[in-house]
This record gives sequence, structure tokens and C-alpha cells, in this order.
Amino acid sequence: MDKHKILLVDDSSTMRKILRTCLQQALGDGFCALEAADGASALQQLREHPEVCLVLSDLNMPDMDGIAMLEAIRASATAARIPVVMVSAESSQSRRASALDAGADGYIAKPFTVDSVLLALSPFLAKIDAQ
Amino acid sequence: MMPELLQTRTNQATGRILVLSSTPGIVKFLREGWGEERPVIAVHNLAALLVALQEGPVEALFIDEEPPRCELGDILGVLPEGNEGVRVPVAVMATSRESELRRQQQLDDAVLVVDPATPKNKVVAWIRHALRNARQAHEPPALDQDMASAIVAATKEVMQTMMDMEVTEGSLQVGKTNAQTADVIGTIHVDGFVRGSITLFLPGDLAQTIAQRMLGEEPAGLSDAELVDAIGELTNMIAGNIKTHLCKQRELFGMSTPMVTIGREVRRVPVRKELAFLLPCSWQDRQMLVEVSLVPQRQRGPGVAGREHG
Repeated sequence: MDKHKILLVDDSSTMRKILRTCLQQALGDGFCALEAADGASALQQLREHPEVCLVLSDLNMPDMDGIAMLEAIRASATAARIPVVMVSAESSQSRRASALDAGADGYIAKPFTVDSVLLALSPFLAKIDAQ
Repeated sequence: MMPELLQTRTNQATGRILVLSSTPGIVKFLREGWGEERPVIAVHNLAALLVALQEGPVEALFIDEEPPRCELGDILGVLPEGNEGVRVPVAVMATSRESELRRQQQLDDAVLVVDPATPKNKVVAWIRHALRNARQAHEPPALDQDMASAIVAATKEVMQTMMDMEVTEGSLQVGKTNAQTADVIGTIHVDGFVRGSITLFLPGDLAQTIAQRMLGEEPAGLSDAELVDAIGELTNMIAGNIKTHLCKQRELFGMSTPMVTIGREVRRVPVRKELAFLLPCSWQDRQMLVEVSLVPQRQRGPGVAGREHG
């Protein structure tokens, strides 16, 4: 059985590793993490891997930020329905609202605990498990 | 009765209302509204307006959409900054409801567009509201009241949550940015209604410990690139949380991507000495320093050159 592919998008390799560790605690080896350091690279990954079932993305990144990437995903014929959860150190109401308005399915504020990440992702992880 | 707005303006007690308009009765109307406290002065052309602007503080300028013997764009282009860098609020009086709507869409500089058919009491309320909004939009925020608690809360929360490190904060110092020496320095520049920087100064062994705890790896196994990335992310998280604490009402500034310098006793020397808040924090006898230097801008800046980093 193929592993579920989850795309982690962050210009910090440290944060990508932290998120990968969080997911491993929830899903064990039952997933495969793809990584991208900016929005443009993430879109390329989605084109190459249309089977990706969840995207966790930083909000602010160089070159193409998370909002622009999210809008491109929602406008995509093949990736529009993929759940996208934004992760950001800026967690004011306006930042959250701008992400959700752009089509984000969830928002995780940094700093976070493993439990808080898993709680935020639980609806999406449950769907992945059911597939 | 004096308009409520002007009663609150203590720093421009002698501010004048300038009127460049051929609208019948507008000067009389404004004089009745503001009474003796704010002189309402009629000017008749661009040259007279420029002279009047040089003669002292101006509270607001009321101007026709099609002013006599000059172009509205020329007027808006030459308006100087008022007290504390706040641009003179402009009320443009439109000739019709249609042109009023058009002007509201086109003129960023005009804070008020008055339709002559609008009832008088609504005009007064509109003027108060528009000028108040314009002033709030231009005024730099007062930051120092919440600054101390924001720095302490953000630093402790990030260190505790991400690295399980309970740091003890020292006494917050308020002074000027000074030369600081550290093995690892992480900086994020900010720009917006305030400009400045948020900087972490760390001894090498504490930086290694933090990175190791973030990544879950042994300190010896960390490359310089991993250390730089981890401290960059730490700087980003602390700066982002300070921003979240300070910007509950509105976005005050944007953040650059973090810059991290590593070495042995690297010395950071500021080119300009700016107001700075310094928070020493300790963890198991190792001390780090969080420096926050945020200076209100007289006018909102264009934002930092780098893209934001979340």
C-alpha cells in the first residue's frame, strides 16, 4: 500500500523537520513527507505528485508566499481540493483571517506543541486514515 | 459647541482651518462650527495657500473639487507634513454625489468628500469622523506601554513551548542600541508604522543547546547551516510573537526574513543609536539577550525589502 503523501512547505529546514517529527508521532511510518522551501517549489511538487493529500505551509516565505501559493492551489484544476493548513509565527486575527479568506482549511500558530499540531490536523488525518 | 475632535487636540492649539473654495457660505459654515478656537482662513489661489501653509500649523484644508484658478492635484501634491509628520487632512467638496463617489475612489489624499446636497448636521458628523480616522491612520502608535510584557511573554512562551526550556527573565532595560558581543546573533528587521529590529544575542553553547532541542539531535551533530537555520527560526518565532502581542488591533509592521551571524564573540555595532528595550534571560546560568528597537515612523514606510518570514 502506498504511503500517504504530505507536503511540508517552509523556508526553514528546522521547521520542516519539526513538522515531520510531529506527523511521525501521529502517523508513524504511514506517510511520506515531501518538502518545499517556497511556494513555487510547492506548486511544482504538487504537479509532480498529484496524490498529495495534505499541505502544511508557512505563511510568509521568499519568492512566493503562502497566500499566493494557496490561491494558486485553489485555482488549480488538479489540486484545488487538497486541504491546506497554514503555519505561522504571526497569529493575529488579521493574519488568520487573510489565510482563511484565501482558502486555508486551518491555521497553526507558532510556537506549538506536538499535541496542538495533532489536534489541528486531526480532521484531516482522520480522513487520511480512512482512505 | 466645539467639535469633539478638536477638543482632544492639545498639540495643535493654534492650528488653522484653511479654505480654498468658491462654495457659497462654506467659510461662514466652518467658522460657526469651530468658533474662535480654530481660525478659519479663506485663501483664493494656490500661491495664497502656499503662503498660508508656511505661516503656522494647519488643522485641515477644505478645498473644492475644482478649486478656483488651480488644479486639485497640484494642491495635494504640495501639501507639507504638519506637526509630528502628520500630513494635513484634506476635505474635498464635490459638486455632485456622482463625482463624490468618483473622488472617494480616486483620491487617497482626500480624507473627506462632501456632497453639497448632504444635510448640514451630517456634514459636521462626517467631518469629525473623517478627520478622526485620518489622524488615527497617520499617527504612529504608542508602543512602550505593552512592550515589556510583549517581549517577556513572547520569549518565555517560545522557549518553553518549542524547546521545553524555562527561562528566567531579568530586569527589562530601556536605553539606546549599543554595541553587543555574542557568538550567535539573530536579527529580524521590521518596517511599517514602526521601524527597527528585533535581535537575539546568544552564547555559542546556549545556541547549540537550543538548536539541538528544536531539532532533537545531538549538539555535536549540528552543522553550521543547521545552527543558523534553527536560530533564524527561533528569532522569527520570538519576533512574530512580539508582533502578535503588539498588533492586536492592526498590523503595525512587516518583518524581514531573519539574518543570523555566527562566530566567536561577534561584535554588533549599531550605526545609529535608537531607543531599545533589552531583556536579559537566563537558562541554567547561561544568559541570552533580547533587544527590541522599534521606533515610530512619522509616515508609514514602504516595508522591509525582504519578504516576510513566518
